[in-house]
Parts: sequence; C-alpha cells; structure tokens
Amino acid sequence: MLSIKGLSFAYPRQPVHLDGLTLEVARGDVLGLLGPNGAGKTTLVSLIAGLLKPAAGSIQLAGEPAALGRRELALVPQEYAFYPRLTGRENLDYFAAVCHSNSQTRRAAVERAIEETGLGELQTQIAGHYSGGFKRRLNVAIALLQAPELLILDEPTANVDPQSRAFLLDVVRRLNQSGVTIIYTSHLLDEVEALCRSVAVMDRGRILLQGDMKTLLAEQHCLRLGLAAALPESLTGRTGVMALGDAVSGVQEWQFDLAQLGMSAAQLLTQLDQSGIAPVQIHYGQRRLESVFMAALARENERL
Amino acid sequence: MSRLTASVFKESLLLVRDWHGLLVLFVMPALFVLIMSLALQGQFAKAGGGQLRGWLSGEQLIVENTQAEAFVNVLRAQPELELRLALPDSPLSTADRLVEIRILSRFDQVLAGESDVRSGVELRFAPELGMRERALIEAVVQRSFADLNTTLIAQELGFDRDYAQRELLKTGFIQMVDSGDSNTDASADASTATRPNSVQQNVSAWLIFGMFFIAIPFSTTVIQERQQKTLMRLQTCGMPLGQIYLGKLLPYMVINLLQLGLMLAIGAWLLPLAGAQALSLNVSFAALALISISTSCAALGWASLVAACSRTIEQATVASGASCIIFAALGGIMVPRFVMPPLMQDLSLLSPMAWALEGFLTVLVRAGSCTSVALNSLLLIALGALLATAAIFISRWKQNHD
Repeated sequence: MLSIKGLSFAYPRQPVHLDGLTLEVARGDVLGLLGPNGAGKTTLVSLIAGLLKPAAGSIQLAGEPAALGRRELALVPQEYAFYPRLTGRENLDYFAAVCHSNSQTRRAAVERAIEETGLGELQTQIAGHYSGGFKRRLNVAIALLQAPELLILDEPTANVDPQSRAFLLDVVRRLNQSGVTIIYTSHLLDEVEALCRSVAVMDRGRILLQGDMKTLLAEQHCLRLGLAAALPESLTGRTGVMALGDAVSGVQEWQFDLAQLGMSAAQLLTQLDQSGIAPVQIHYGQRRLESVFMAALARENERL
Repeated sequence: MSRLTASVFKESLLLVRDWHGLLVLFVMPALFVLIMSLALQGQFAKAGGGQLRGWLSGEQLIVENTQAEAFVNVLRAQPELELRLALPDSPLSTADRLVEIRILSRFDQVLAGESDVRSGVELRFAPELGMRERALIEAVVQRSFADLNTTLIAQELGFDRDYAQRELLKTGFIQMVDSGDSNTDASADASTATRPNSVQQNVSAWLIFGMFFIAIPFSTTVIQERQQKTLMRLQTCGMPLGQIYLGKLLPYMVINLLQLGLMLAIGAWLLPLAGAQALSLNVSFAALALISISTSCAALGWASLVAACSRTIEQATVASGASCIIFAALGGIMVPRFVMPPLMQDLSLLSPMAWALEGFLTVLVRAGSCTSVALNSLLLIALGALLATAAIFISRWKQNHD
C-alpha cells in the first residue's frame, strides 16, 4: 500500500530531519508508528500526504507517487481539525463538499461517517461544545468522508475518556476489517500493542526497527510478573530487570530477561516466594512493546 | 454545491456566529463616524465651506449717509464673512468670533484724503488664529474697500457703480470653476466646493478604516485554521491554497459592502437627526460600488498578507491593528489631507487608504463617475491582487520551511 525508499528531507538551515528513511506498509496492515517527540513522525506524515517535497527518495502510495490531494489517503491530525463554531453536521457537510462533487455521494458519505463514529445525536450541536471524546470522533469522522484506503491517525485518543477511547479503537478495528490500511501514531504503547499488527520505531529521522508485532514481542527468555509488593533487594537494579510503566491499583509490572539474569523461571519464582512475594500476574515468552521501544532507543543512543 | 460555494457558505456561517468580530467590524466604524462627524463639524466649516465669523464695531456710532456706513454695507454683503455688530474690544477666539473689524472715526476723512493718518479700519484677530485665515480676512476686507473706493472714483468721473464694477474692477475677469459638479452644501462658495464637509470626510474615512480593520478577524481565522491543521486537512483533500483563500475572502468582501451600506445610512439619515449635515446620496452608485469593491480588494489583500506572515494570533492582531492605524494616520483618515502641509500630503499617498479616500471623496463630494475613480480603483485592485498573490507564495514557502 505504502512504499517509502531512501526518503530524505531537511528544513532549510536546519539539521537533516529525515535521513534515508525506508518503510513498507502492506495493504490491510495496522502499523504503529512510534517515536519520541521530534523523531520526525509529523514530517514523515506531511511527506506522505504530499504537503512537503522530499529532498531525495521516493514515496509510492497504492503504486503511484504520493502527491497532494490523493483520494486514497486521509489524515486525522492530533489537533481538532474542524470548525468549532459549526455543528458536527455542518462540518461534515462542508468537508464532504470538498471531497465529493456528486451530491448523492456526499450525503451518503456524511451519513456513513456519522454512523461509523456514533455522532448521530450530537450532529446538530455546535462542535466546539462537544466533550473531548466526541471532538475526537468528529475528527475521525471527517477523515472517513473520503472513504480512504490508507488512514493515518496521529494520537487519535489523546485526552479522551476511557469510554470514548475504547469506542475509537473499535472504529479503527472495524475500518481495518473493512480493508482500510492504518498508520497509527501514539505515545500510548499499550494501545498500539493492542491494536497494531506491525510496528515501526523511528528516531532522529530514521527507522530504527520495523516488524511484525508478534515477532517483535516474542521472547522465550522473557518473564513478566505483576507484583503487589516491592521487588527484593537481590533483584533490584540487576541487568535484565525492568519496571514497565507505573503501578496500577498497587500492582507494578516487571519484566525479567532470564538469560541476562542467568536463572530459570522456576528459580526466579522460588526466590520471590522465599521473599514472601506472590505474583498476581504471570506472562511468559512475550515482551511488552514498551521494552522493545526503549531497547531500540537505547541501542540508537549507544550507536551515537 | 461546488467547493467554492461550500467554502463561501461555511465562512458566512462562521462570520454570522462570531458576534464579537461583527461588533468590531460594524459598531466601531459606526461610532467613529458619529463621533467624528459631530465633533469636527465646526472645524470643517472653517477649513472648508463655512463662513468666517467676526465682530463689526466702530469707534463711534456710524452715522447714516457716510462712506463708513457704505463700507459697512459692502462688508456685510461679503459671502466669506458673517459679521455681527458689537462694542469695540469684544472677546475673540477661534471657537467663535475670529476677528473684530473696527471702523475708525476718521474713516471718511482718510478716504477723502483729509487726514495725515492713512488707516481708517483696524483688524483685531483672535491670537491663536492661523496665518491663512488672517490673510483671507484681510483680503476680503481689502476687496470690500476696493469696491467702495472704486465706486467713489467712478462717481467723481461721472459714472455709475455698474461702470465702476465692470470697467475699473473688471468684475468677472477671474472665473471660478469647480473641478466637477459640486455635491457640497449650497452654502459653500466656489473656492471651497471641492472640499468635503465633516460628514462626507468622516463617513468616507471611517468606512475605509473599518474595511481595512477586517484584517484582524480575517487573519485570526486563517491562523486558527493553520494551527488547528484544518488548512492542512483541506489541502490533503485536494483543495488548492488559492481556492481556500478565495472561499474565505468573498464573504469578507460582502461584510465590507455591508459596512458601506451602514456608513452611508448613518451619514444620510442618522447624523442629520443629531444636527449634522446630511450626506447627499445623489451620486453615481456604480462609481461608489467600483471604489468600494476596489478598496475591499486592497483591504483583503493586506489581510491575507498579514495572515500569511504572522505565526500567532497575537502577532496578527498587533500587525493588523498597528498597520491600520499607521495607514489611517498617514492616509488622511484621522487628519484630512487638505489640512496637512505639502510634504505630508505627498507622503500620504504611500497609504492605500489615501487612494481609497480620494476615490470616495471624488464620488461623494465631487459627484465623480466610474471614469473619475478608475485610476484609484485600478491601483487598489492591483495592490490587492499583488498582496494576495504574495500571501499565497509566502504560505507555500512557510509550509516547506517551518
């Protein structure tokens, strides 16, 4: 669906922003595009959309060079990219008129977008008065008007309540099931891990890592434990021991690289048992995306 | 519905729902017109078509059937002067009576050559009165005296007053010609006919100011859309930047024309209720439409450039507001051009507001036609097109550089 080869770009009088970037996104895939702030994700998206012109390299979208106004591509920016003084319906009608010249197609596209995103009851209300969750839904709905083959979502669930977040993720899944290829950028790695089938990690304008999610997360030496108590001193700070995220309801998740620790899963569990600690969650043979992401960035920092 | 029609409809909805913006665009210039037209009525009367007011006094009672009495009658017939009889040394000020014309008791003797002293009349001015007004009053008094004296010489030679006027004073030798069909009030004499009165000047001036003030709400919406990535979204839907701008500009041009209607209505119907002169609408509406649309083009071009060059709403607000005030100060909006010194009058032509004001005054004051305002209109449209094109280029350039 999307093939990027040797892509380079730099803003004038600034250091190189993208440096020979190569990325492949298969049709029907859901790709999680990860990277710290300033990694070049937004620049990459702008280049794919044709808003910027690359200094070198090529971008092929559905077999054709990427250009501004390609109907196959729709963007959902992180910002609320609509008119807050218009109602949801008026926004959709306007963007539909921009995308489609035929009035029947336009009406059908608006109805479909409203149905897909559950905006029905609120469509006649001023969009600026929507809750954060419904603003996000409208943001996505506008992108759906184009009936895109490739949908790029930039932090689509930022600052929304859990209910709206779950709904939006469902919308994305349904779209993907209907054949839409998705590129999903987010700093919420749990969300990406749950949603995406493949992942690409980028930093400083380069792709550090790209692959199938299951393959990247598979790790036979990896044991993840949820602990309600503090880790014994004998394990704290050792190589191969890593805290994942913050504690939730008093439970902290830990990842243990058994190869690095030089012990088996049984030995580790025994040691914890002797310290009076009983794990409340056990996952074996699979890393968390967060550890993959952090490891990729750490390797890049070491390389530099 | 085409993209452009949809954009115009969308922008119109946004404008109608922006009450604060509409208040600024309509109420502010309306208040300026009301306040300035009423406040400056007297000033425009003095500088423009009004009479110069003064006291007429005598050292002694003016005796009937004397040359002094004949001189008083000639003076009181002068259209430039509005004289009221008073006692000597009555108070003078530029706000009321500018001059005292005092007939000396020796007037008849001096005229008959029976006195060693040459002066028969004294002029006493308000201290703050300008040189121009002093010279004008002196010239009118001198002309009145010449009229009287020439008539006396003619009578001595056995001719009547008509002969004196025709052959000695050569009345009519200098012909006063207006630059067009004057649309000034009937009391204005020929020499001041091409100058606007307070209402004509202020309606035109503050209308233009209001039209250019559109840069603030326009640039604000463009920057908001840029920051919110709405512009980016429209571009990725295949809408060219030029079409996006055009869809925004057209509704704002309609706002400019509504401003015109409101300001004309205030001048024609509201200001007379407050005691000001009524704005005559017996003008060429085609010429008025031409200069209004041209001014709107220049204002919107400027608004587009401000929007393209500013990064934040704060920057755009300061740039729009400050540039409007500078254009207005320079272009004869705040201070009429005709009271500026020659150098400033030349400099004022740097402001597009001056081009617009000249066009409006040509229509409203001098009953100008489309041909009369063609040059000013062309300049304004060319400027607007140039600025809008520059705005689009700058927007594209910034997209690739920021």
